[in-house]
Amino acid sequence: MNGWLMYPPKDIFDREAKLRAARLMEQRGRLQRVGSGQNGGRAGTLLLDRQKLARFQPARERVSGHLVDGALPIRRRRIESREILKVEDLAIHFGGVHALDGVNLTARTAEIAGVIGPNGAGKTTFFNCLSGLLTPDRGQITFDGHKLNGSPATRGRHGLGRTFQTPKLFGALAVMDNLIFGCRTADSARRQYVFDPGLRRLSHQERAARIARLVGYRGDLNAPAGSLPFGDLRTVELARALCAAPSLLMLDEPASGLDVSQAENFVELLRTLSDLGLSILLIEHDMSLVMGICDHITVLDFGQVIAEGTPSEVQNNEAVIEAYLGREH
Amino acid sequence: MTTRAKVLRSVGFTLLTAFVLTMPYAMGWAGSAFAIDYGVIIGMLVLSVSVLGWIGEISLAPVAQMGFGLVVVNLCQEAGLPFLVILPLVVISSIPISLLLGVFALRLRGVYFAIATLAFAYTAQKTFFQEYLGVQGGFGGTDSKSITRPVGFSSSEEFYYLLMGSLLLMALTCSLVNRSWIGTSLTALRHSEAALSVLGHSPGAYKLFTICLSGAIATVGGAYFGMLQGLVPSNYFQPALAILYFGFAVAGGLGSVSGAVVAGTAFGAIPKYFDSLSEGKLVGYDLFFIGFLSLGLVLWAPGGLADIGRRLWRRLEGEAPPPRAVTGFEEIDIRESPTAAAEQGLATVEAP
Amino acid sequence: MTKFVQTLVIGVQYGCIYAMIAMGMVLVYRTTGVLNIAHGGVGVLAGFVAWDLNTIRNWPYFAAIVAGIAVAIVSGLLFERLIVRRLASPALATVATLGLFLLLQGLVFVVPWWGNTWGQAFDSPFRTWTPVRIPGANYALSWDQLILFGNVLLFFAGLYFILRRTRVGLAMRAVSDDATAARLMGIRERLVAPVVWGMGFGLSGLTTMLLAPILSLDNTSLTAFTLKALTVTFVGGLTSLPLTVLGAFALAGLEVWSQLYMREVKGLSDAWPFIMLIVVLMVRFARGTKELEDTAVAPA
Repeated sequence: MNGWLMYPPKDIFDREAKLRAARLMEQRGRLQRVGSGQNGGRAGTLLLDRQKLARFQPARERVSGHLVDGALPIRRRRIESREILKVEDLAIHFGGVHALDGVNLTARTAEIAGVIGPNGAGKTTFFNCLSGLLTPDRGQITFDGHKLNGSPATRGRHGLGRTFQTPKLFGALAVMDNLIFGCRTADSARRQYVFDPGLRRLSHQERAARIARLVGYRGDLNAPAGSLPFGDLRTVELARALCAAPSLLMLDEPASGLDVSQAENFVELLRTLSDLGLSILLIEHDMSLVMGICDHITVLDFGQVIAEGTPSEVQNNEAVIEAYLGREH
Repeated sequence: MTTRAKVLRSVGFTLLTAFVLTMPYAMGWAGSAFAIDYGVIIGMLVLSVSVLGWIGEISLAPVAQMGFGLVVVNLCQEAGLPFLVILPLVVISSIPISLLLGVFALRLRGVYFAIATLAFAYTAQKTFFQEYLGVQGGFGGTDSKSITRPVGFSSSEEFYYLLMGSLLLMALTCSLVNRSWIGTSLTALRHSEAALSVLGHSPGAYKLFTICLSGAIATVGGAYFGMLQGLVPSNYFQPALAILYFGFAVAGGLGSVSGAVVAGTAFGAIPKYFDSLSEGKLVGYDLFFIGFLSLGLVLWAPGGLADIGRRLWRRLEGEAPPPRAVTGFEEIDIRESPTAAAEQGLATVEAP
Repeated sequence: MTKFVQTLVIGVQYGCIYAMIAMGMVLVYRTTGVLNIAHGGVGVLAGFVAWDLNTIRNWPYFAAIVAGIAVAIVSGLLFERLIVRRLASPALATVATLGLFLLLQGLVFVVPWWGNTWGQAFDSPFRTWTPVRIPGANYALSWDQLILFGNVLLFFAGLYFILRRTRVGLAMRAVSDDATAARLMGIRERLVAPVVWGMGFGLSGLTTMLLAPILSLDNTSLTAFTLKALTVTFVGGLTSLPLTVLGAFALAGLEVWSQLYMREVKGLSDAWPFIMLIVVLMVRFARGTKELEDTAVAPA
């Protein structure tokens, strides 16, 4: 189904065009799930929840569907995937503990890269080093062509977006005010929205409202952020990060605490964003989600990379299995 | 807003304005206008301390900054500059010290920052003020010219209007800052510096700004203090005094502009009135009383006078505070619920 | 030589003073998270009570100081029970200690028969004992000073031992780290907190008793020492007892040394707290790791 294009409506929220596109999809039948099975099924392979995995597995053609809750019909275009982040030999220690010890990682645009590992492996520390919240002992980070070594604010302005393991919203401010922080950055740093270039033309409020709808936030934009239920906290934090027009989005356990349907919607959203060119770096504990959505996975343990590759490669990797299963003894 | 609230607000505002305008005379029975002048200056100092509550920090340096303001005024008056030139100069001269303190604020938090400002204040007191002024001397002593009040404001009553006008201007500036996008950013900063910084906003810039604002207010307060007293002993600017003013700021409600102004003015003026009423016999009672009050406030009204005031006013008005104004953006809702989608025959992404 | 010895002794003496006060503050901070601003003030209260009992009511000296220290301990217990326990956070408790500080400063004046002055002389019976001569120098140590030195060492060793090695100390540290978790482990927080505050205030009372014979019972100077001791606690990062004591002696030593040998540089001897602060700052934060407190570096 290559070259299957939906002609972009003038206004991506043109309702008529959406209906037309959706009907077109329906005519072409349900999306085919090419479930080619995971692997040769060796004994000792990680057992994944097959049902869950199936839910997250994309179709081979990587056509994202029309989001019922969102508002974004997709314009499938050929994205040239290029390298956007390169981390070389990153290391940091706290006291006697080497939280990270020579970590290498590459992330590309329009790809979802996963970072997994047992507890204590150094994943959040890794993100903190990338964000600039921690200063590593050594290592080189190249982002979008130049060396990344400024303050967290500078990195944010260059397009490095981030959410936190526990959502850090500004509780006393309204949701809208939270989102506008991101919009202000996008304007002052003159950034384009990778996933929708047309957004720059809109005012802060309109932009924020659209991005909020995109991520599926259905609540009141004027409600204080501190009053939201947990699932909404994550959604709004994601929206806030998106408002800042990132080119690489780092998500720290974004699906933890979400129920299955919320997680599915979330996965769809990530896939959509990735298709539109956003690069995503994901820390997640839910294996089926990670295996289902990521194009590339890096496995950390004790601050070192023990495996990397596509999901199927990683699943069969001895070292990975040992790291996870070995812990249970 | 209900009529009751409207009436209450206008009445309250009128009464307050009347009181403020006539305060030196209205309080004449309790003591001279000097007391209220003193109170207004303390109000400025307490405002400068309270403003730092916006970034969640405590500084004990405002008293030292007060001293620097005094020094600058002294120098300017010795050079013969007019009042209207002196005032902006005082504000500008506060910036280098504020920036120095700001450097500490960028690296230190909470208690550690407070200790650093304390060390700064202590050193300034012992080295700069005592050396500059000589251990025995002071401003207006035999070794230096006394600081004079500007022309037309020499009596305590007249000076009051200049002081009150300045204080109100400072309070207004702070209020406006708080209501602007800067205030929103400061709220965000208090919630989570990390989140604010990864979003691309620099917390350091906001901290520096607040510290400079606080420093400017304290320095101008010091300048006025010099004009009020004429003669100030060099060991006046003790760090312990800064702790006292911090106590006043907490009593008024840290971060609240009106609370700081009211608490500072009241706690500054009341001991002086007390002194004159009791003819100087009751020394130390003011400290005792204020300490007691602080403990009570911490237990029952941690938000300080500002919090009490707000709650009281709301009770008087008899209604809940007005809801937040809608941003004004009309939502065009094109989302469908799943059932509606099914009705319209829209496809959904499904798992096999 | 005499001058050198004299300076050394004075330096050690002031070092002891700073160390005692700083240790008391570090103890309370480490175990409760509260910075006790009233530390010096409590001591003054205890000192005045003892002075009152001894000089006015003619109690024997040791009974008087024991009573004074008891007053300090009881006020610690009361403060904890009535105020600290009801407050939601250590920050509020720090503000409460500020209120206490002001109250105590005023209290010294409010009690009419305490002389209504800023200071009183309070001599100990050790004053009559023959001072110990230092061989080779024309200088003698008074017994008050020796007792002060001894007590500092005793308390340093004692506190270190208690905090590190005993179960009580462990309990204290657990409660300060995470009160809820400590309670789940069976540590009676309700018992630990009063002990801590009682100890902290008691230590302050003891400090004043040791100082009063040397320096006289003086509200202002004790406050000034408290403030200097605060900067000393910074050297230890408010947590490390050994570093704090080291910092105290370093500060005192530098002050005294500069007064003796660097008289020409005006104001230097008073600038040391700030200079030390900057040096510690640069050393401690040399790496530039701004670990923003809310980074939530969770194990992941």
